Amino acid sequence: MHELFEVFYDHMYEFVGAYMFVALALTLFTGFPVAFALGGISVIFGGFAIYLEIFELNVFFQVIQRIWGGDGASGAVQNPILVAVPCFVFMGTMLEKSRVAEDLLHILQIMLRRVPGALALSVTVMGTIMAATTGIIGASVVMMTLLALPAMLARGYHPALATGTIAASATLGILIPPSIMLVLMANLLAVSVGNLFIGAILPGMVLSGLYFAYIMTMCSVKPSLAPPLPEDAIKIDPTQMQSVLRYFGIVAVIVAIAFIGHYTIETLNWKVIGFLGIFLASMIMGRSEGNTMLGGILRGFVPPIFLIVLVLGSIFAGWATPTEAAGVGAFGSLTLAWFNRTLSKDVLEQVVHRTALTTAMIFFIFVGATAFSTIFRNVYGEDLIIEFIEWLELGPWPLLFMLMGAIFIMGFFFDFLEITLIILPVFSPVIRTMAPAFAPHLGLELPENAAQIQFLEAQVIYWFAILVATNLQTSFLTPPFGFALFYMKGVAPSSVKMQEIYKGIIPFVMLQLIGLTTVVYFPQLALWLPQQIFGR
Amino acid sequence: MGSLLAGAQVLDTIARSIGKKIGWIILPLIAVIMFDVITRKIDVTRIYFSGFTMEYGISVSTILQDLQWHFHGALLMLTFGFGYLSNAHVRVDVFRELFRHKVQAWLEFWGLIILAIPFLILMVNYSIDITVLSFNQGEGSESMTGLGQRWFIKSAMIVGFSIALMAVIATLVRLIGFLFGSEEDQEIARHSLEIFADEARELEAARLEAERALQAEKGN
Repeated sequence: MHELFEVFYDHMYEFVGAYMFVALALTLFTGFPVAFALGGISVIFGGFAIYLEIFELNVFFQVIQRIWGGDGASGAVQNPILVAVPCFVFMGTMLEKSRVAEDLLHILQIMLRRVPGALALSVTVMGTIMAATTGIIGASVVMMTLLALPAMLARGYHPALATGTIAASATLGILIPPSIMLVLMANLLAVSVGNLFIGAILPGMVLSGLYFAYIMTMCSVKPSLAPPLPEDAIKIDPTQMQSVLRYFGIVAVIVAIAFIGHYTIETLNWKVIGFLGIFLASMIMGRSEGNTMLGGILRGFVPPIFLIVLVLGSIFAGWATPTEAAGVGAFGSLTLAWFNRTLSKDVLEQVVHRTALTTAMIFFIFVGATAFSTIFRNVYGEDLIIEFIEWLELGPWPLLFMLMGAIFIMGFFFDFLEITLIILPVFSPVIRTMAPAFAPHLGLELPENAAQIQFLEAQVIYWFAILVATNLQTSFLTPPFGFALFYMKGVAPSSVKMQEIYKGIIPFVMLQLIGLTTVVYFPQLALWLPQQIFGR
Repeated sequence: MGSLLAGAQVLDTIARSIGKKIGWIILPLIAVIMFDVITRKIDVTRIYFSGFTMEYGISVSTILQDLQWHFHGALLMLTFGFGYLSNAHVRVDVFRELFRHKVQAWLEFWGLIILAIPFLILMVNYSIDITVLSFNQGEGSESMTGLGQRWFIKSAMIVGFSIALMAVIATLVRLIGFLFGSEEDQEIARHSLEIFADEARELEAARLEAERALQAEKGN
């Protein structure tokens, strides 16, 4: 009897981490809130490990310290990087509720009306620009579907093409900055948010470029898929040449003033002043312009573009940290809503509540995941995983594909929050140890000193993070499980059948796989731009 | 049972109203970031404020940066309870949607007792420890010129986890009402519980809206 207990004890001592993971997976599938499941499992297994005398109760003090953060640790509270999250959530929600997104879609389809598949292309552009700053995939898919699908169906678009475009464009936001997922990833992987943002731009552009090419080709070959906007449906006055000239005149004057100022009064930052000057001039002119093409562009198209350029540009140029850029973006979205005359007390209250709830949702999982990973590490769970991977004796490439495959399958069931916060901390040490093996592929020399090793590891992590983001997006779209499709089916008019959604998404999944393969084979796509901007 | 449910209602109101009120802190947060960026990145004000630092020995920028994550910390900690009551926390609803409300309620009931309550009690306990430690040490900012009195924001963790615990207890009482109460109690409890996977119903409402929009577009 005693011997049996000893066998049990040894087994548990070694494998408690593995059981912890299994228990977590089972609990999650009951539909209990993920954050509580994480926290509860860590308490139960923490208690069990205390019984096995692996550690003592005060391990939970370590948990709370990790939740707090500080000293450069990736905690939830004392962590300047994560302040960006509520700000980006606020910005995204504000743009949605203040009808900026709607105006953008409207003006885009008028601007692109002569191109085949104009409305589908507009949706792609909107997805690229607005991205999913709202926090969760389900919410952005629902938002984009409600915004675009009725218009597309009424225009006679083929349901498969319409739903495919919307689902793919709405999920693109997890990759394209400013994306909340990238902020969380950078924080957990201890790399720079700015760098990851800039790195995600080219792969994001490749994907939206692929969508663009596909939609345009399909619609040119088969115009019946996407009937053009009838000319009489465009209720818009002709633009006076005079006002176009006046607008460009004003822009030229502002540029000239900024240019002269740059060389005379050096205490002012003239580039920013010039940029904001053009922004303001466009908005004011847009308001005084009537219902013309120019007015529509100045009101609907220019402001969101300027806002995104402001947010990303200030990170690019090194004027602001990502957190500050997020704050500026949030302020910018308030300004846009005010200019659009949609900033009522009611809208503000809705946006503030939604922001509070989304922040609570993200960070409660963060807290739970912190508890889980602290206990997991303390029961030697990480060693268990590294041992397991060593036991598999895979080379670096099969290992990368295995991790990617695992993430892909998890993407069927979990949103990016759970995967980023629970799985990534487990996978990242594996990838870090594999870093030297990937050095030649990234076009880097084998590291010789500690600084070079650190640089190489960071590069591999950036590349890996972009791969994970693209992979997850693909997973969210892949039938029959991809949950973006279920949300879409839920809000689509009943004339749209699930088969059509499946049929429509398959070409986009192919495009995703092409994009993913491109980033795998050409890591420079993710690494080149940050290296150019931030230097080596 | 009736008075218990009334008590749950009180806890619910407290947790919700704190969460709703603290949400507004996002506006001062944005304002502080804007002010900091303008004063630090625009040359004129930067020079003006550095003169300020030389004269009075405090750095405006460091204080503002500390203030940013203080606001952020208060926002996220104090909204946990509100989030749970509004069912804003992520669940994996793949299988849960298939269950009847009674089954969902049982799952939630045991989940709260086994998982949520022990976790939250431990967290409240240790956040008291960390706050008391911080107070006794007189912990301040890492930089000499930042915000002091670190214990104050650390106490947000005590309050936050306590509010989450209140929200959990309110839900637990309602679940007991729903599972074991008289018919009347069940009705009251079910009405105030927001835990059920009614995604189908919510999405249905949105779908009808889309259908209407489609009709309107066609009419045009």
